[in-house]
Amino acid sequence: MNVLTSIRIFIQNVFLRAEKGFDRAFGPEWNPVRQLGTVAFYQFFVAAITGIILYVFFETSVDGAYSSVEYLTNDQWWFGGVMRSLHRYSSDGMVLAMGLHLLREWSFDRYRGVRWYAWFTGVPVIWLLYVSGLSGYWLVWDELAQYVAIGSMEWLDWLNIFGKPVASNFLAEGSLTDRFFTLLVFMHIFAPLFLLFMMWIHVIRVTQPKINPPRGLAIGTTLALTALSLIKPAVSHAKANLDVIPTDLDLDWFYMGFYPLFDAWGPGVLWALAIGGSVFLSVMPWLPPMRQAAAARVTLDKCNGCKRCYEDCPYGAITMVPRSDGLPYEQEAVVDPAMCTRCGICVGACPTSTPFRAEGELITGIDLVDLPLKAMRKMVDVALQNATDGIVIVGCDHGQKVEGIAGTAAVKLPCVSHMPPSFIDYMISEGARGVLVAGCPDCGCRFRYGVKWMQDRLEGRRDPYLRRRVPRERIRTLWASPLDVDLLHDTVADFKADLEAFPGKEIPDV
Amino acid sequence: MFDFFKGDNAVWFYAVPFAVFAPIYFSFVWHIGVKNLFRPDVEKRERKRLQREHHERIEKRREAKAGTRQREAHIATKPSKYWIAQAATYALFMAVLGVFSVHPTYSYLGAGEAQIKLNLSHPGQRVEACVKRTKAELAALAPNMRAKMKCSRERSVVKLELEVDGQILFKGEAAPAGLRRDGSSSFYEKFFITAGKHHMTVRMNDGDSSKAFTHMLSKDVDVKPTQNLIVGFHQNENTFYYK
Repeated sequence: MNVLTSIRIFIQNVFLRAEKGFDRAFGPEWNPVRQLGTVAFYQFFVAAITGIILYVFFETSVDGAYSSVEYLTNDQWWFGGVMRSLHRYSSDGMVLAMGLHLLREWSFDRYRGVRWYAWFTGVPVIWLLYVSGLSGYWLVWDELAQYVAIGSMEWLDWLNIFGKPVASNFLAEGSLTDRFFTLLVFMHIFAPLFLLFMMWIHVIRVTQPKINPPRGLAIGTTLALTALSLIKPAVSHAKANLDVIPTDLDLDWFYMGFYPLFDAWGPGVLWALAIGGSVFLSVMPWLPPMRQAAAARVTLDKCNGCKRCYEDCPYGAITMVPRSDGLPYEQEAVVDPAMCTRCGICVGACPTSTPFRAEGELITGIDLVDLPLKAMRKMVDVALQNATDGIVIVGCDHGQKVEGIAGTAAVKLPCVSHMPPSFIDYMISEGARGVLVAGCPDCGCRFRYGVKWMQDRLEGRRDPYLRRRVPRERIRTLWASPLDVDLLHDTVADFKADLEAFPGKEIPDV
Repeated sequence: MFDFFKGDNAVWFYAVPFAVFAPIYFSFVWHIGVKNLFRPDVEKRERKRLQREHHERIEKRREAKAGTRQREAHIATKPSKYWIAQAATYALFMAVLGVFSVHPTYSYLGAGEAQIKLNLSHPGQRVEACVKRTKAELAALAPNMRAKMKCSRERSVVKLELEVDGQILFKGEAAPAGLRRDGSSSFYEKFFITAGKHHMTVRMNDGDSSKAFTHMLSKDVDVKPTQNLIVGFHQNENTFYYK
């Protein structure tokens, strides 16, 4: 393991520990660490709505800009002031959530392979967020705005793309006209619109993208931002005066952390860092490229075009196209290997994925090339033989360590949702006393909807259902963090005790 | 400043655009996702309840095994701790935002310091001098192109020096802007100096190779703390200035 991988694993463990802690406080679904992307989205909406309200009162002129913001902050603190603070803190919160989201996805190695698209399109999101935030700071036209405006223009001037330095427009009092603020307002409206567009592009490739946090988390975030706005309202510095150089500045470090670097190192170094950093971030998914197994494969003569795989694929890798083989069905499934994560959720969704067949007939409509249905049944058969206490645990490659628990045997799949419910029926029919499905917590699935689909299939909300004949007392689920080892062992012990009380019962042949 | 009925700042001046555009905007924001925040999700609630019941059962068994000894418990089963832990998380979130949005304070300029901004944009002399066209040359041109003087477009490089108290603070040259090098040469530099009296000299050569400098201004300047002293060039008067 090289140094970088060690760092990545270390950060991953930090996130896992934080998730485990937050699971206890918030429950898995509201866990803010698993909702960083949606929290960032939500804070964008808070900033957008408060921004519209502020714009109503904002005056686009050299003198009016500062005085209108001061009016809101001081005279109308109970509404305009709170809106201003909410606007400020939500945009700061967005930077925080975005930074953590980026770090988390990197640490969990969810930026390579088919996930390159979201990572790659995330880079312009960073730039646009900074342009949006910084252009907003200019509008206040206080000393901080003066510092940021001049610094930004000097940074741009280094590129030498303008005939005359743009920073010379901020030379002395009287250099600026009111129309400059009209331009700024346009900039501060269009940059966030582009940002929203880019955020849409960022999530467009996955099916059912999650952009809203759970209601409780949204309410909590709003309350926290509002409380902060009342406790520590956002205020302006003194009015900008281009004849006087600002001395001490209370920088917003979320947005302006690189301005002191600019002062210390100069624009060239900062451009090198910004461009170099962006290019490096953009090409990271290919440094090195992820080694991936072969994509899911459709066996046409077993596919009846039922669309279940198409509906369940969390990455939109499956499309339904007109039938090409002359069989009397309207459509057939086609897998796009460039978008397939090899999670096997489609296999779990396919109604032909059943183990109740002779080995030679174990072919399903859609299957993983490297772990086909035959191999899955072999794993299950071996587990049934090895489970001395009769409990088989179904786990996933990215979740809890389900192997080595006394008296049980484990079946590990890329995702628990890879296993069709008929396999659970099969295990109970073949003599397993109980089946424990141990997956990741809600919203913690590496393949987005694996946990949800499995829950829905077992609980009869999603096709293919678990047959009614399977005694539910013999099935247990545990959706928990990979670090929740004690909980897993306690659940197994609890399950064993319950099974003792539940006498073996023949499953009727239906 | 905000009169309710009169003047540019009357409330209606803001209220009317708000009333027109806000519903459009809010409906857009609503339909792209905010509406989902207000949907009751019965399934999720049910699943959460089942999960909590499962944890409660585990916890009861643990406590039974451990007797009266308190064991590590899932806070989710204890409502007061559950809310306190959430509140603590939000407090941490607020603290991070509240602190780093304004702290630590950054000192851009030291006490008793000022800034000199050397800023000028000046076209250098033409690289080739203008030549008067002969009558024959003029006649050969189309009527609308008959300019008496034939001038090359390319301008000379402009050289500039700034000296403060006998020390060269800046010495450099700027090429003319434009693909044909026919624009102005621009300088934009800034320097920090201590406030007080200084002797400043700014010199420029805009393309006359026979002279060391074509323009110069030497002057004692009293610079105040935090002053932004501009060293520039009046194009119309063809002279430097300190401001």
